[in-house]
Amino acid sequence: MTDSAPIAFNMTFAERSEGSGPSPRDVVVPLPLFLNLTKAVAAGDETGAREFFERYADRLFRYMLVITRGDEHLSRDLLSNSMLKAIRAMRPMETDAHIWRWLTRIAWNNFIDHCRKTKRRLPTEELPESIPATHTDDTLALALNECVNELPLEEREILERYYFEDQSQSDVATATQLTRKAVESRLARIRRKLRAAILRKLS
Amino acid sequence: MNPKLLNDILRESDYAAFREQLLLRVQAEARKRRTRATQWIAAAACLTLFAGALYLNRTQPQTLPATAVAATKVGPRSLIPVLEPIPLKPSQLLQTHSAANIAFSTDRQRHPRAISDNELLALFPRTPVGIAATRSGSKRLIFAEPAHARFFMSSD
Repeated sequence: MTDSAPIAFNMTFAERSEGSGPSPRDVVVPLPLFLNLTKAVAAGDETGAREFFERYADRLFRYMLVITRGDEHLSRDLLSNSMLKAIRAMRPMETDAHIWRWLTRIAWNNFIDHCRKTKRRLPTEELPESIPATHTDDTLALALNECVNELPLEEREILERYYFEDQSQSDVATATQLTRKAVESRLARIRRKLRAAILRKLS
Repeated sequence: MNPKLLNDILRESDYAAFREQLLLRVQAEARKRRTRATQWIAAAACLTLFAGALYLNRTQPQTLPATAVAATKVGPRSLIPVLEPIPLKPSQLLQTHSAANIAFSTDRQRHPRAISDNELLALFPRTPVGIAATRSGSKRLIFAEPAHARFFMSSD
């Protein structure tokens, strides 16, 4: 341990994340950005399509993980179908909320179609509007919080220094008296462990 | 929630490779959409041009296309075959007269052959006809039907 301010290990993960800055949902972006983006994708612009993908693919994947109860393979299939359908049917939309609502509806309909084809039990929620846009992120945040709290102390320290204090791997290595390579491999192991734990919690 | 942490967690295993492949497919789909739009625009443009050409063709007056006139040099007269008319001989000329100048004369040197009464009657095989002798001694051919008389005989 260094002489810097001690890390408050007794605080929960959710409390530590509060006050760490505005959440992405609170960031105000200029309105024409989304309109221009959707217009570009509708016109078949590859750069626009890439931008759209980078903005929404991971978020949509998290959404799929929640509604499929952690079924990763199904989530990937649904994500592929939904993104391709979205590109084909893209039309100009002005706000992020409008785009997200439209995307989740496509994804939800794909999921319902899959349930009917495979005779899987239909989800209890009837419409994607009944699942607010923040619901999936909150569900994942809760699951992640619980999993992080279950980590051993040493692993939590490495995780928090790197992801919440924005320290580099070298700084983390110095603080924990490990080599940089060791920090890198431990971070990878911690992430794999958290991944499996989150998917278990969702199922 | 730290989005970077969540994304890094979810990108463990082969998700990164899957994500990269999906991005390529998304970009390919965008390209297809652009190609389809371009094809539609090109088809619409061709249709518009064709309709415009049809309209202009109908409204403009028909004019004969300018044709090039081929001008050729004509050689000397001696090299060109020329047809010259020649006068007819008097024996080749035909003199015509009006009908009043034409006279007919009987050639009495030729005697027509005489036929008997039976040979005369045989000339009308299916016609009721007879020969009557008059008081003056001449004979007359008589047709039973007036229509036959009008047909075979001249009215003089």
